[in-house]
Amino acid sequence: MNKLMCAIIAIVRAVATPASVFAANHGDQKAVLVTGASTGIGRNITVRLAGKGYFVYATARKAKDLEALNAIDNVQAIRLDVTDQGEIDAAVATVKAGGKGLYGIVNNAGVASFGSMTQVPESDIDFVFGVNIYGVYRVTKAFAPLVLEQQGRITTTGSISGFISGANGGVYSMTKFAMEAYTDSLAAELEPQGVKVSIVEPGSFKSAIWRTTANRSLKNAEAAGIEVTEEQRQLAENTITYGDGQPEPDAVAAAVEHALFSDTPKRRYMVTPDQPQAEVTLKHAIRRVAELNHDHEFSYSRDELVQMLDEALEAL
Amino acid sequence: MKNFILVIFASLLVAAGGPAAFAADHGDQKAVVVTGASSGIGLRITETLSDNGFHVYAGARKAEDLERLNAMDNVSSVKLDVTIQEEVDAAVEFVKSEGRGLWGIVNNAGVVVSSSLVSDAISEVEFTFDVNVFGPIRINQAFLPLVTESGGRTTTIGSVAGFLPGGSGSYSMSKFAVEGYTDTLASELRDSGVHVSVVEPGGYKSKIRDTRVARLLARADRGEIEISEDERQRLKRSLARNETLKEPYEVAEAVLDLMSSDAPKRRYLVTPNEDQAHRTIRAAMRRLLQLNEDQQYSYDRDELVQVLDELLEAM
Repeated sequence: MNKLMCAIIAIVRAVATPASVFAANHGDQKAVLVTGASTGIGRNITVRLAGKGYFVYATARKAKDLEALNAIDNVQAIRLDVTDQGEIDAAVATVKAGGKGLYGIVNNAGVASFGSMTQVPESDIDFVFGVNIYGVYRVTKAFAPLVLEQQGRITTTGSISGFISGANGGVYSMTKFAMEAYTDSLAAELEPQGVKVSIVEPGSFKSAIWRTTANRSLKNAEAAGIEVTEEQRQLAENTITYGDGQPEPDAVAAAVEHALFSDTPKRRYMVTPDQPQAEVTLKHAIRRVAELNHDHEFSYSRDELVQMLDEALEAL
Repeated sequence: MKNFILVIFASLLVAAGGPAAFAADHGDQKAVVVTGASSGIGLRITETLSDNGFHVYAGARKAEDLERLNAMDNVSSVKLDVTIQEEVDAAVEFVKSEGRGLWGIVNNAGVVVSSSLVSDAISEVEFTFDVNVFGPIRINQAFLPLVTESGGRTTTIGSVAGFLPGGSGSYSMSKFAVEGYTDTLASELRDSGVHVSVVEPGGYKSKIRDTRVARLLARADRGEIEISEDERQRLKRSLARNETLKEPYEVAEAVLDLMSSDAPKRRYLVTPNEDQAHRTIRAAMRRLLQLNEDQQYSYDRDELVQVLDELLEAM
């Protein structure tokens, strides 16, 4: 019996040793998962992190995108539609098999839609919520145990639309508002367990989201038998032109790198290409404070609000 | 000349008499749809509005609740599960057939189901959104044409949980999504004459906790989830705490205000005590400062105060 035990232990050791040596070789190379890595912000993040020597599991849906990502050093492409639980489970298995564990999750995959809240079909809302809310939830839930093991980081690409919700952008804004609350709730849940959580809030940058959203809106309208007016077609064209004219999202990727690897990560990273976008976002956030405070039993006076602001600044 | 004016005045009175007499049956009484009216905040809203001259179409799901609501003065109950489009459509037909038109919508139906963002089933999150977010969207899409006709009001019961983490994450997400929804809807309806608002209650007595615990225990009984003894005790405590909370009369008063005031607010923060109000305002302030912190175009402290002063001035 003893001999049998010894033999088993020896075998386990023999099997285990190469694996741990293998892991040690990789071990100081931290691995992160980036969803929606084929274009725009996701690709920029992938290229930046891989270039800095991190290992990136870059996810995309199309074969040609996977191939392009695989060609980058320090990148392993993984086929992943964040709305497909089967693909998420397979991606977890792939990452586990990679032997590097997982230090960071970058929930970046996102979609948008246009339309007024009084008319938008439920199927449009389902589609956007499916990727931007449930997708983030599914991916984080699936990979969180690996990130907990490494006491790593989780970040999500939010948007300044998590603070500004205007006409015809309601569905997208609702998802990004939800991510603001998600981030704070996830932080409350995971930070006591050693995982830091943040959200990056980009303004308008060059991204495929403009083109895909414009094109999908036209396609959906046609599919539903709705006649697309010349004005709407022009709006779609303008959206694509606008998107193409925006700056490359290098600053967004830099923020993600900070969120993942800095010793002093922030909870929120607002990154806008210009001052007006930053100011309008801050003004919306300040207005929300003022509206919450306005005219009730427990309203703060102006001076109390300023004092609270000073205290909160102190506490940052 | 004087006589002529008197004649006109008299004929106006006569003309007005017809519809006014009809209106006395129904008509100058403004009608409001309240979803989730069977208990808690929804029931208090239904009571307060119906006591103050409104006719309430009170939505509920169970026969016994519908019967109880229908027995109240100035209340017609309507079978209404906000996740079922057919029931929403049928409710619209019913309200139309009643001939009062519709002045207001109170999207109150809501659920809390999960508490962990890394262990709960996705179906629980989807259910939360189906009721708390898709519910108001469906109800507003269906009833807003009537409310637009009357230049009325629509509101949604949000929650301080949209600002304060620490409870159920999916609930918090759904309630902050309602924040965004409210702002978009308000911009889209700006020229329609319809006023849009959101009410953010703090912790009041509500059946939402009983329902949550019952649902969790039922899922544990079916073997879908495991609940540790600690967790069971925690759930019991949450139910016991519910009994000590204030009845949500103040929330109902806020809804009465936004339905009847000449100058309704966009946001109604309503909490049972000062601490909850101040924690909520601080949390919104903290998000703002986190957004501002150490970015390329950060405001300094004095600029922040200046913007705050400008916005306070404009309120």
